Amino acid sequence: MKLLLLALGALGFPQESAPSRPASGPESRPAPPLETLLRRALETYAAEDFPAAESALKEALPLAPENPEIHRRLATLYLRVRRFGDSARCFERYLALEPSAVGGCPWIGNAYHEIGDFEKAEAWYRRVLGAAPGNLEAKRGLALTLHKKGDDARAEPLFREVAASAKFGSVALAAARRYLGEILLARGDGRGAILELQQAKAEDPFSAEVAYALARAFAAAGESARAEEERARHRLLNEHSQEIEALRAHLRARPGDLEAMAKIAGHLSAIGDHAGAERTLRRAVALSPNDPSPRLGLVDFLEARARPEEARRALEEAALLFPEAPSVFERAFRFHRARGDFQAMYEAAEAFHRLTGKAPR
Amino acid sequence: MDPRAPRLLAYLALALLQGQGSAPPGPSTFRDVARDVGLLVPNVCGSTKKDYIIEVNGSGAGWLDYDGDGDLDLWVANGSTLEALRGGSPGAGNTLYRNDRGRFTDVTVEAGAASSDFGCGVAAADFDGDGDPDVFVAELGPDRLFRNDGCGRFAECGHAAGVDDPRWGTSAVFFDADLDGDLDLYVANYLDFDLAHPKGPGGTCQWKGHPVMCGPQGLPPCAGAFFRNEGDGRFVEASAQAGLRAPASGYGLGVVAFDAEGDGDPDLYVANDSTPNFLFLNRGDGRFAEGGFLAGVALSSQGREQAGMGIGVGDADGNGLEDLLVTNFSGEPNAFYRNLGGGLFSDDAFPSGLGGPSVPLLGWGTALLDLDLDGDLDAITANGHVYPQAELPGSDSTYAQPLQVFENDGRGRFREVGAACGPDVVAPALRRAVAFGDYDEDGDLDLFVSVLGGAPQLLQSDPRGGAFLVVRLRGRRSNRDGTGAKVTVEAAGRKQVRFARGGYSFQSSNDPRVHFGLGGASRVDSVEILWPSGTVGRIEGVAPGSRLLGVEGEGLRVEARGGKGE
Repeated sequence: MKLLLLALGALGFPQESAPSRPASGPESRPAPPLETLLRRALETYAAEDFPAAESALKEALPLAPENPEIHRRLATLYLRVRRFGDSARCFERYLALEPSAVGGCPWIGNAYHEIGDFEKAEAWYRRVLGAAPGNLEAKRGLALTLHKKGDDARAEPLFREVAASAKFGSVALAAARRYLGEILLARGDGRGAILELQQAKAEDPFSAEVAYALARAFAAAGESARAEEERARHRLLNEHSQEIEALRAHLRARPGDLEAMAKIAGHLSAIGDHAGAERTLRRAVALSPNDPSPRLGLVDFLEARARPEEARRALEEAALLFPEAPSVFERAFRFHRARGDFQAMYEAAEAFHRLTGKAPR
Repeated sequence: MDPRAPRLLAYLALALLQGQGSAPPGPSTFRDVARDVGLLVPNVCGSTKKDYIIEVNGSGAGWLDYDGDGDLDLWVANGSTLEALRGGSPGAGNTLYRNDRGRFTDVTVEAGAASSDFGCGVAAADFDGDGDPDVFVAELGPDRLFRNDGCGRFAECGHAAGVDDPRWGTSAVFFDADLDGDLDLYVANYLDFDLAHPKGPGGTCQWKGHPVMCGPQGLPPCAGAFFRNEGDGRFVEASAQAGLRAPASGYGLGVVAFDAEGDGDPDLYVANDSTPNFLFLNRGDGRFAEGGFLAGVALSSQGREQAGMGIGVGDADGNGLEDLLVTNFSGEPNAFYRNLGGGLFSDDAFPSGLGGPSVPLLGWGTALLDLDLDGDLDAITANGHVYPQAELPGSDSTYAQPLQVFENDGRGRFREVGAACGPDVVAPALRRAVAFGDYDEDGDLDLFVSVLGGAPQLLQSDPRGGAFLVVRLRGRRSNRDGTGAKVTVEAAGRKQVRFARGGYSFQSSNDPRVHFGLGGASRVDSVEILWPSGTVGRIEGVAPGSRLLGVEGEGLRVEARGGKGE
């Protein structure tokens, strides 16, 4: 799923700019409904409000039923919210309307792969590669599909091609290494599997799947102590990643739930994915311009990561944006007290007292 | 339109076309004869709204020759409703059907098999070694043990025998854990459901964006229970002493005893819903250690817990080691744990061909069995969703689902052939438990399938060729049923290994005899029984279509159709 989500980033849905529209002004006419709907879809998708994005796109569809872009965006959205059957159907329609786009659309293969229709997944990946032989995502998808069909003889060289071409640190590389490890493990080559899986671990250190495969590879190679180590690591990663997935599913239904985002950041921190935790917290900050709590969560995170200067800057920003929020000044008071910055501590306490009539704790 | 719908329609269309034309080569065909033969009692399991988790699992069944007349009778458990349970009203209770030359007569009351509880799983075995099968019923409430007096009457003795565990029992298995010659009992328990304050509908539990009934997550799981047979009609709860208590409890739904390591003693595998499955490895003395994770049978190939339901077991790839097929939730492939030897397994769900077609479906009862009598083990899975909301858009599934039949190519690679097996197979339904047995004594395996809240199916098999061999076992030093005995058949240059066992799949108990398909073999070169005691019995030069009786210490002999006694 992580692979799918990262791949979706390349789809361009949230990143692309809104369609051009006439400059606003007293003489400009109101935007046509279709453009308005598409803009709303873009904005809500970017804000991860998927129900609203779906609603806007479905409203737009009758206005331009042959517009391939609407079908593509619906397909992308359904892929993101794990409605794979709907996604495949919309991608089919998109590519029927825009057949020349097939070389850039391996996602249709991914949608069929996810619902277990490996025949259609393979056929689409091959069509994508026919149009764009270097499409790494299609190659990865085809390799995985062949592996799942039990055709490791053809999957293995494709995985090796992906591993040779994928960027260092990419999830595609980690996946290729991991499946190469799985193939070797099933073949009874525990030692060979360990080599591949350790590289996968280096690429994606927070993958519960890699930890599981590595534990079994060590067990197959008779290294029971290291197998137990990986088992413990798997337990930790698996426990948190399941919580993260559940929270993400919750967010898909109730976008913008800051508490859920904070929990996700907490779980990411717990498995050591601090960069992921920070991204999540910063996203929560961006999504809640009127709420100081995500910024204070970011302050907590930065302070815990021994990045006091960044935490200080985040607090200063919060004080400027939320001058009437006592929680900001209470947090600032504690932050400065912990560092012995008595002048700043005093100023924070005074601001807190001005707002509440009380002294900060 | 739901994405599954075109595929379901295609199945149905193909099945109807095939029903009209000449039979194509391939798998067995099946016809539902339940109503024709008198299996009439419908399943009861809560309301149709399915607001509570106790309303979705259904009940199982067991094949047994309770009256010793040589054919298979059928014990079917049945459920109840929340309202009845709360009000103290009786549930639908068991039904015992006597087989009278292929027609069934309800003899529940006269045979003393009646109960008024919420029955779930059925395990039939001769626990007291007196030569007739007894029946254990795992219940939502105190479990029951029905002792057969040998004259066609049962007496309930769960409390006296010490097995009336009040927790929610699902599946149970009799096996000789300590190889002392009597059958011990393991009961998989599911979860602690508070009837007084049930966690029901209210919008807090979601699936694919739809509010659904809650569970099992959020409800306390119940540990399984191991009962050691004391040899005097009583059992002692000995889970902890035997090492059959896992560090963390699971939501147990399926259980099977099998020899995972090929070392001659029975290990125990438990399929858990939403929690890691357990593999309890026997140390050889009846004490076990849980080792599912490193063996590779606790989780999916992705290292994820799945919703384990039913278990099929058998040597699917012909390497002499028993593999496992475990059914799971929709959106998850069924797991196929191929036994690599040395106590290691590989989840080959997708490479085996069993995983892909199972993804949109929610599987329950399952089995690895030779349906087409060609000498390898095919697979079946009974499917049906737990959420009526599976019919809503975006579920990538459906509520009622087809039964799936997978044909083995002989090397442990399968293709789904349900559409060619007839409309009664692919007709969507809320199927749950499957128990297989040759009820009509024609040498092939028929399927009893329970349907949640509906009439059951008895799918009578009609294979398109292939001879059979049936082996009935009578233990002397080993347990009387011969449970755990390894039977090896060599014919036409091929060796087949099967084990006698006292129940598996999901909440069910199968034909206790050991069945073999022989394909086109004109002669069976040898049949060998390795009894749990280590005793070996052997016979050579047997004609296909034979029915053999193996008596421990006395070898094997051919017996007439419907053989009984010794």
